[in-house]
Amino acid sequence: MPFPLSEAPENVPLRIVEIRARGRGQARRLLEIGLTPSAVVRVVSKAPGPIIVEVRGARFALGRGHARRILVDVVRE
Amino acid sequence: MPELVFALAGSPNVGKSTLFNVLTGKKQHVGNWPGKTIERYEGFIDFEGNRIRVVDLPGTYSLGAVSDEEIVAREFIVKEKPDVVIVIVNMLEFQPSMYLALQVLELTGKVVIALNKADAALKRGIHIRASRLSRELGVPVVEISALKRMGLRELVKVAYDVARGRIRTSPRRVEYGALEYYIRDLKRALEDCKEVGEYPSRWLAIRLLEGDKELEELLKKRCSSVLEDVANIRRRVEEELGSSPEILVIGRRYEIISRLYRDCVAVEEISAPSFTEKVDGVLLHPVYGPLLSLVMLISTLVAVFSVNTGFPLNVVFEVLGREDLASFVEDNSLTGLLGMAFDVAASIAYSSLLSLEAPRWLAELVSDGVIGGVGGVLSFFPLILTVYIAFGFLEDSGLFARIAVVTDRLARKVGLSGKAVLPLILGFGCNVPSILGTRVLEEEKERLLAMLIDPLIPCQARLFVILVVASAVTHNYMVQALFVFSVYAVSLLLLVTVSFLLRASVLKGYEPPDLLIELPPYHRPSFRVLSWYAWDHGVHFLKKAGVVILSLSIVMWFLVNYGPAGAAAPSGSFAYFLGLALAPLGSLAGLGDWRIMFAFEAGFVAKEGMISALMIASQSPNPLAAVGSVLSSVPQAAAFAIAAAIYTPCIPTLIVFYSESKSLKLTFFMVAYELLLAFAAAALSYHFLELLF
Repeated sequence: MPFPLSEAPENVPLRIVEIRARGRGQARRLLEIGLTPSAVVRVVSKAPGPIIVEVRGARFALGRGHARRILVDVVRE
Repeated sequence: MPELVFALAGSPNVGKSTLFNVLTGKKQHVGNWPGKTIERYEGFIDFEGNRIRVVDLPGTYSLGAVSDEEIVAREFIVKEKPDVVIVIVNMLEFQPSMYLALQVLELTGKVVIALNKADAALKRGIHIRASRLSRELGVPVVEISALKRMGLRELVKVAYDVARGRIRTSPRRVEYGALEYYIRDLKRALEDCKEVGEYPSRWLAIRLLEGDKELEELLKKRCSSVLEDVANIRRRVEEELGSSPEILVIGRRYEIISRLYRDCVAVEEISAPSFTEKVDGVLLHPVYGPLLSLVMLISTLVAVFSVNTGFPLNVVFEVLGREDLASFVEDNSLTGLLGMAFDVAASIAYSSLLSLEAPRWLAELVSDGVIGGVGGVLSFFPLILTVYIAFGFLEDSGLFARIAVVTDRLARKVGLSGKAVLPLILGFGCNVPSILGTRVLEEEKERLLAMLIDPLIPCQARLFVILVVASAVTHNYMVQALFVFSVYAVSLLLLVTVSFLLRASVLKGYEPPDLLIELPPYHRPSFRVLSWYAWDHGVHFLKKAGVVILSLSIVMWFLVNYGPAGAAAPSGSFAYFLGLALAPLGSLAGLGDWRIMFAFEAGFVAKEGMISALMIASQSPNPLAAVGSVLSSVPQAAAFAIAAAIYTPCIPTLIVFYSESKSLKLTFFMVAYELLLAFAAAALSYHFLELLF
């Protein structure tokens, strides 16, 4: 079952299933930095506030609102 | 032979500015892109006797039309047709930085890929097969390290050969699979619209399919019928392929990038966590992170302050009983040195003009008005320079992004995102670079809010005024500190209040944007590059604002030295009469003295000028005596300091605010609200403290 990235545990490889966009262009920035469906992401840390994710070898801080819009699933070997 | 033009393109953090600076050295200049507040950097290189113009495009992740930077970058490539575009790809973050490269390749074939940070990549065990990558992309690929100046000659030579047509490129065409059918449809529909012919038609079709507001506007004006086709085809894609076209298009580009990564990049496993990972463990820690950010921000400010005026280092030395060191620091601070130089220049000019039998008024005009005015203009320069260096250092090292992350939650409480924190904090040094620094905020409304509240942050010039007032009130260090602290607290409290009021009225419905920021690996910035960058910005500012500041300084000089009856000492001058007229208003805040109003008039040009104005008006030999002679009670001193901290920012800040907001209305609004606020806060605190004392 896919779940939002904001709920994801740390340090587990996750696959992006869906980016929920509210209105046009909302998801664009996320897609353009490489958070595309089927990309693998890892939550590096989730202190209160923005969460830190690693995707395609780069790290980004995402606000909670963004993280709620990204649906992921655990990668199974 | 006509001049060749090279454009540099790259995402943020790929080392583009460093490359630009080492390629062009000192031969560069800053301007603005037409109609935008984005700076345009151009420089020149000499290659085998040919002059090559290098244009540094804004750093962007994409060439969509989400931000002005992206529009500027792609319009340049389409309309000005550079002879070659050098796209910088960061070897440490291959995939995200490759995304821009792929988009440039869709726009033009005259491309050279520069794989930057080759040295750091090698250390981390990252290897890229440049030859394979070059074959896959159909354009030359050169490995470089801008910081270590590796591979630069080779890069310029290859770029030169591509520009001259000696190397032929065959750029890879990005195939979009199932979308190709729709792209073809849209391309056909666009054939009827000749007016957008300057854009490559395939590129245009793909862009419109993924949604591009700027291009849609263009179509709306020129061929609105095609716009309907665009909407139809987008809808069909969504229905028939089950996904939004933008996800399909961007997803496809990243698929290609993943494949390139698999085929061309090899990473040797390194077991120990990287330096960046270790540092981030501390800097992004929920408890230590914010504390360390605070420490970083405070030490940055202390460093900036000390270099400029010696404060607070001089106080530290004084407390330690080393008055000799304290006065050394003061005398050798940038402001101290500049002030000394201009004092000497002014007195030489004065005496030599008199010895040439020039009239007295002319000698005074030249020495006090002109040389003093130029000195006033230049006195901003060290402050702007050092704040820029500090800003550049934090940004280039990667610390800026971390500060933004850990301060985000706090910043949201004042209606901003974490990205706004550093630029605003730099306002404690000087509001000019602080307002310019808010350019990092992408969302228009967030930037507007940040700019409007920025001048409420007391800059160093205002700190100087507050300190003098505090020292005149009491000799007790503790009470002085309490006094200064209280004035700052009032200013910041007002900042929070104003932000709240603005969001409840003018900016109703605005929410601080969700943070989205890259956390680049840490690296040591090059001081040379930082100083160039700071110097360019400083000079750019002086050119833009210098004339206005200088003329206003001369006007000020005239108002202070001349009155209805001709040459006059302060009493009898125009400024005196204005002060008299304002005094009744000032008396509502316990400041009903023309000399005080006179100081506020002078502070309009530059806040530190308030103290010297008080000295002139009260005919006192030193700052403390001047303040002591006009402010006799604590409530008065507090009202004066609070009003000085809050009222209308200085002229340079106004000029920058105007040139950044491009709105006279907003500029007036800011001046008006701050005057009103300063008056109200001063009056309230005066009457409140009267009850206590």
